[in-house]
Amino acid sequence: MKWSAFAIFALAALMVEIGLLSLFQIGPVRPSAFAVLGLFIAVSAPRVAALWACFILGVLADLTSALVYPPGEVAHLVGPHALGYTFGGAMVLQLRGMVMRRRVTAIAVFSALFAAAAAIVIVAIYTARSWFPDMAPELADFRPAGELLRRWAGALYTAVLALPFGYLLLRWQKVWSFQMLAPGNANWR
Amino acid sequence: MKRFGSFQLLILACAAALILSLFVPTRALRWTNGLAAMVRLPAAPLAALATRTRAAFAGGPAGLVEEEHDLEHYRSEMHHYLALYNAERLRAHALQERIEQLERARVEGGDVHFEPVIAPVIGRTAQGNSVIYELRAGASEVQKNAVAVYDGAHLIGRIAQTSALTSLLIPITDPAIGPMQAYVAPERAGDDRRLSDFALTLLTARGDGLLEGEVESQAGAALRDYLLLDDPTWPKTGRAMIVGRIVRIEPIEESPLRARIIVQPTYDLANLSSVTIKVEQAGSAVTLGGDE
Repeated sequence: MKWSAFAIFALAALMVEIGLLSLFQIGPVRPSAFAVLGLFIAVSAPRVAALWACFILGVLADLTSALVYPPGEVAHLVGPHALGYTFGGAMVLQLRGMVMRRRVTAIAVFSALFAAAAAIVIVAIYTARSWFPDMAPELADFRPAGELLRRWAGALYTAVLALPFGYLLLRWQKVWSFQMLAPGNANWR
Repeated sequence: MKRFGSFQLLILACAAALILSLFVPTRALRWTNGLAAMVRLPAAPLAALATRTRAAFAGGPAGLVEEEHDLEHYRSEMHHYLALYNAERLRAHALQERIEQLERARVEGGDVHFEPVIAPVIGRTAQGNSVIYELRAGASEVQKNAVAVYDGAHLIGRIAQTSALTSLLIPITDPAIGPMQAYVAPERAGDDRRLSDFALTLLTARGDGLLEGEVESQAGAALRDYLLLDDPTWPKTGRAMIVGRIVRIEPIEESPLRARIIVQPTYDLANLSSVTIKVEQAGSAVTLGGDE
């Protein structure tokens, strides 16, 4: 996998995430461009490179979501999305033998699974932090069930977004220089 | 081998992220704001464009959007000028208070020549059992040992140290300031006795915001009487300044002819935003001495 290609696509995903996706937000539910890109890499790249890419995309997602805590201060918690996306990537790595990775619909369905798996880890971390209100005052009224449902709704929405994005990513697949992966190949698993 | 090293590094990165996520307080994460700003920078132009697009879509027909925009602009301008007006009102009020403080300090100063300097309290430092206050008044404005008062005649403390831009003030309620000689003066107005006719006592700070001293039981000290400073170790500008009022009188078992008086200063420095420093004009150094 070419890391230069990853850098360019990650930047594009960042611009889409911050710039464009607010246009498509429905109430509190919004899709994730990072999740689509993370899934695309997870089904195509060698194992360790895929996990690293998911981790870096998670860090970018963490840095684009701010926590506001009393008295009106802002901070960014680096970790929940990084770990969530890495977990989602690890899960997809176990399933990618079943994925017809050149199909847009497969990209869409697995994007939703990737985002849903990541959501479990993210909500678990926020829940753990909410047990210590002195440490995380911004999570004093945190409701894990509601947050998980919201994120799972976002995961379904991500599947919708993955249809056009997945199509574009597949069109540009050559620039990534992914190795042909198959069971028995040195980079497989 | 290389791949294994990379995987190990990933495990370490995940462990670091987990520790950061679970054990670091949010208020300790402000350093991430710089990183986030750098990350968001490339997306800013597109984000602005998207925001404008969304506003255009959400705002209804184009003409209405324009009018709404103008209205919002005028509303914003109105609030801006309202805020400016209120800020000026507050500033005028603050200036009026400063003038009153300076005039009172001059009136209470008697025949000692001094320059009153308003010094804002900008911080407090705890050193052991003592609490020392930092003032925004440097060595060019105030001198060491200069007396700090509030409302003209109420003693607050003494300058302990000066630096180029700030100075440190020890309040009279801090035991570190040492014993202070003071007279008990009756509360009632129109008492024309000399200061030396009143009961003399040596006040010491108790460390709880109050001071205590002993007086002759027959001296006639009563509740709410004033304590006036008359200590030769203090600058002359502090003479006859009000240390506080008697809030309690207790008998002393081992000395039946004496009584213990508990004195409470009128103002607590912790609640004041500024004090007046009485800077002596006679020379560069503060002159010490009580009786002339």
